[in-house]
Amino acid sequence: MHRLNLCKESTRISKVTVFFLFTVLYLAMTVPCAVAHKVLLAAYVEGDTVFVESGFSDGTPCKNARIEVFDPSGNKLLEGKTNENGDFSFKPPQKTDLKLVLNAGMGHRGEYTVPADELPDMPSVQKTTAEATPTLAAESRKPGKISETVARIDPKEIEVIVDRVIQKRLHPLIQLVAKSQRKTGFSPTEIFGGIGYILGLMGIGMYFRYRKGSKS
Amino acid sequence: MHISEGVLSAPVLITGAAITVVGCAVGLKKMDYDRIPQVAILSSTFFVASLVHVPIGPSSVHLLLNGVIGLLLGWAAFPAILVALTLQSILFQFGGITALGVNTVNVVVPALVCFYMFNYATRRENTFISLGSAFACGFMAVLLTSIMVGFSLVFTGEAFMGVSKLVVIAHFPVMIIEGFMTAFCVVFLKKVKPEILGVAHAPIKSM
Repeated sequence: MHRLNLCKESTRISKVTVFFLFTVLYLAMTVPCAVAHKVLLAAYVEGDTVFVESGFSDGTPCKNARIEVFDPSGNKLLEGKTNENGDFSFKPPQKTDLKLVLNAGMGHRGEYTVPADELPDMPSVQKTTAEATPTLAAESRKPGKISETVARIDPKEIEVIVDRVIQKRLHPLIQLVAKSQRKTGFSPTEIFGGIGYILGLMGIGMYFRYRKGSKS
Repeated sequence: MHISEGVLSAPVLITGAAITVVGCAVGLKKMDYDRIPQVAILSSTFFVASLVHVPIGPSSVHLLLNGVIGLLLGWAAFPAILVALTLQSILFQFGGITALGVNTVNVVVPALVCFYMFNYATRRENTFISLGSAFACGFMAVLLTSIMVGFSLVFTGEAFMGVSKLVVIAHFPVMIIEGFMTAFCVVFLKKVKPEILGVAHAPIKSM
């Protein structure tokens, strides 16, 4: 009988707290962009440049955050700061896996690794920079007398041109992918999953509590 | 308050983990097992509260609710918050597994301090004292947490005053909001279920 009372007691207590929980849950679900404290970092390679996008998972960019680039053995290759939009770009100094570490202050930190095979081959880097380095661009145009004979076009030049066009076309797509990668925050599934775990733990606790109780 | 993986140095992490283990042991020992449901529900409240983002202020901050949780749970806040933080780091990648101990300490120790400071005052009959201390409880818990975060970061090389100031300023809106929330909770509970405020420490007969 006594135990029954206790049981009733705790369920009544829970009613109040359940109300409280649902109030907070409601707030969490209705307030847009609810998550704050996770730094998301995404990077993609275009030509010879690695573009980095950063932001908190609620969509606000990590402004002026320090970003460092390491090679796999932990040597710092370079460092810089993100701009107002949380973007940063750099030219990789060597073809290795690049580990990007962003420090947004107050203990917020994000990591992203760019695998080596996404990076351009270092010797061929010079070719893909047609846009960036005018001298090369000029070179590729010099045989602009091309028109005389199509045959004179070197397959390498075609490669450069095709590469450039494809990259231009793919740019929006790449950005979209990078953005959607950044958005993987939380979902209702995870929220309810977490609450489920906690209630499961409660169940285990109650089980042992009542097993102990029934023995004595 | 979630400090990410790889930010803190080993001594800080180990100290945090050690305090958490001891705190959880004490918490589980002291916990009245008939109140497991309440502990679980407050644990899930904390789990969800971190998703409520406060848009004011220079940085993005979220609710903590450690004042209320400390007030209602006392030492049982240790296991409750450890569970919630563990799930947050697994499911949302908030904070990191290695930083779990430090994060738990940063949230629970202020909650406990506030519990001892305001537990009796909030149970007083006088509405003014009870309300005022409840507000102070919510406010202080977040303030102390911000200061402790600054403290844990100081060993990582960031200048203490700079970081602490930044964290405290960023959390100022949260302190105010939580002050009001705690006051509201205390008033509500006193009306609906006055025992709940007392049982965390020792059951008291009349209010």
